[in-house]
Amino acid sequence: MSTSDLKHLFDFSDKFNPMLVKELRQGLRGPGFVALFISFQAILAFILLFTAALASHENAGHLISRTIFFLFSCAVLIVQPLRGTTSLSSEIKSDTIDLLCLTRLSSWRITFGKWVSLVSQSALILTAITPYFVFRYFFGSMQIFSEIMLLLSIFVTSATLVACAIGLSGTKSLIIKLLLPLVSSIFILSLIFNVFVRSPFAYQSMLQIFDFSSGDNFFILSALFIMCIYVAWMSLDFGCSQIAPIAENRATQKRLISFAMITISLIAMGISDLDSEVAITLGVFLCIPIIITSLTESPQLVPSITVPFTKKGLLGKIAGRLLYPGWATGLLFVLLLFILMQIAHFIVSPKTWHYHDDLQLITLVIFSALLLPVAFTRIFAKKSENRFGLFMLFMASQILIVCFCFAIEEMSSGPEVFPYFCWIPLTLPILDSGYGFPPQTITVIAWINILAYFFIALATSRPTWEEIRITENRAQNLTQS
Amino acid sequence: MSNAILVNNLYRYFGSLKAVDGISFEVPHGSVCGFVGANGAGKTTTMRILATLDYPTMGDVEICGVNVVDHPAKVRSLIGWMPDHFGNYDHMTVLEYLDFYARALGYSGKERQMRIQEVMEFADLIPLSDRLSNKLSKGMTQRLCLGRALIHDPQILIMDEPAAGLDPKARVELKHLIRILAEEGKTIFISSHILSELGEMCDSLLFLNNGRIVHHGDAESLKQGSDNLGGHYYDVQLLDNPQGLSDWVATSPYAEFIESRKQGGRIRIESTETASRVLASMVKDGLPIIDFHREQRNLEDAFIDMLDKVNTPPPIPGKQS
Repeated sequence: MSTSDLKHLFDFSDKFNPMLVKELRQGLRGPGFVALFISFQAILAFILLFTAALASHENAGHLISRTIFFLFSCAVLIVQPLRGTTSLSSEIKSDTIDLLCLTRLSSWRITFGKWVSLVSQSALILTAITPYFVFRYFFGSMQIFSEIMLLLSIFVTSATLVACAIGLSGTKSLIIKLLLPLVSSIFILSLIFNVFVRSPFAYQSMLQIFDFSSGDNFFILSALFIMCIYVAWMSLDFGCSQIAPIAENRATQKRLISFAMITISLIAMGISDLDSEVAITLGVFLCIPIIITSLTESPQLVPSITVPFTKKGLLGKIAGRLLYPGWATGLLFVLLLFILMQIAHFIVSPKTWHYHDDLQLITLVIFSALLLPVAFTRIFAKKSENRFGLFMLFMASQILIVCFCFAIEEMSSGPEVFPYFCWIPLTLPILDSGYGFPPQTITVIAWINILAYFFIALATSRPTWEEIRITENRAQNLTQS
Repeated sequence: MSNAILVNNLYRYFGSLKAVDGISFEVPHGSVCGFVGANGAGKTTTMRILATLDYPTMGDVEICGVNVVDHPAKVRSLIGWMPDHFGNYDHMTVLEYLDFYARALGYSGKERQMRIQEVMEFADLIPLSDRLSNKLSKGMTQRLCLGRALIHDPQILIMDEPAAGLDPKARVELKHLIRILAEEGKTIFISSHILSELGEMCDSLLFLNNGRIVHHGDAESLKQGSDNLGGHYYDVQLLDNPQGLSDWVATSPYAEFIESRKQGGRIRIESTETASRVLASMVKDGLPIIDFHREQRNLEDAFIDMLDKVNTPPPIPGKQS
């Protein structure tokens, strides 16, 4: 074989992630990207010329902008994430994931490489629309800064959605892999249709948000940007955990970073003059991704993971109870987050802190709504390994029951049904708002819910704790020998 | 010779299914070990555990002294894994495929180029370098898979049914490549259904049945052990009506029909003394025999005997047969 034949193996630098090189080689040749890219260009060129010819000069500029935004949003907010939904599953289905795992690529590099590849392709689409923006500029009344910021925000949102799609693509649950992307795509399509096509006012008000004339807008957009990074990272890490070997500890780092991030965010929001209610609510929402991943982890534990903890003696073992991988230690980690939120609540508003105020109810409802699926899984499907699928199923069931109760109460003038479902945490804010129950009663029910679900989950986790103890002893023996 | 593979009391359960049920064995460095068993015997599960792709419910597995559960990354650098089935990537040439794995295994620059060139030459992939990897024949795909498994020059090669679905020519080519690797001193752990081929190339054979090891030794010892157990095999040819042989054997308490052949079939008889009695009965009953000769037992026979032995329930104490 001649050296010239091997020369084209250097088309990508050695410094690139091998997964990115592979995905780009495949992706740029694949019909998915080629069809998207060419049809995107063709449709854009045709529509722009058509619009420019038909519209009055005054409206043409806005019409062209909205058309560009609509098509770009369709491409990067719908098509690209949908392509991500098969990322890990296609590797799992064709058994190539085993071959990948046997290389020196960590599960993170595999998942991250896939994400960077899809985001790079979205970036190519972004650069491809630049000529059309230049073309649009000549039609006047362009708000350059706002429009560029909006474009970049759509790109960042796309990158986040692609990360979510890749993360979920590794799950075993078909419903999550197929139904969730489909429903999300329909929702996103209707959203972008309403903003960019149906109503010119929605588009205008969107641009106003992105001109940063208000300091609040800047703060909220920055917070959303950080949230996007956090969600994207959590999603990719979730995908990693689906393909990582059990000896790879993905939980400790994830929990520590999330805990630090939530604490720093709470401190930052406390220092700023942000409303305490908004701050605590944002803090609780920040907890959701890490709670879901912690409570759905596999409890499989091997000595090599526990060795760094057991080496530190009793303190290490205590830390391990919070940071070892597995849903059982996840329970204690959720308890820690709950305590953190209580402390933050107390610090942010010491005068109003009480066991039954509104903020307390938000915290209790969200935490107990996330604990309910774990308790139910432990009662009804103890042996199932599809923890994430069951978790999402029980979450969806809670929402469906609330919708069902609404429908019944709307249709009949009979007795109220919500009080019968007060064991479902998501019904409590509704009971609090219009059923004449004293706020204290609702908060007491919320406390009962959270304590009940937490203790059911904790009580049924006993065998897992025993396994952890045995693994720790094995690790100690290994270290000594 | 130290052990390349050490399996100690390995169990793997999938719910209530015992895929691997307490097996222990050792494979010395530089040897070729054949892994034999019916479908569902637990071969692939065991091999996946060895390759760090699955984990044991209980027990220890070490590759070159390194525990596969505790240190999967170390183990992965020591082994090359060739699965029974794997998908190829779309829109990727053979050269790009190998380049990707070379990069993923940490090779860069000239070293990467050299490793790719070496495995392409070894597996005769050079003429295929520009072909799309998902458009190759089964034989070519297996050669590509072998090339991929060898990129990092592993000490141990774990091959799960590498010859499955190959035509005779591709099978001979693959066998030739495995023989070269064995001569180079690599430890090869290979499963296959083609026992005659395994017998030729393996230093030892491991027979697995229902997740348990029923034999571990070389091919000759297996044949010997089986001779005492399973009787003798005879090829019987008839002048006409080959179906007549199986009909006749069905009525005989001394013979067992093994397989049909063009003009008769293959039968099993307990001993040489019984054989003469069976032949005499056949002639007496008017079977038009034109050939009746004893056949050398092969590994397939030994394997079937072995399975028969382990699947036969032990006699109930006190009850006479």
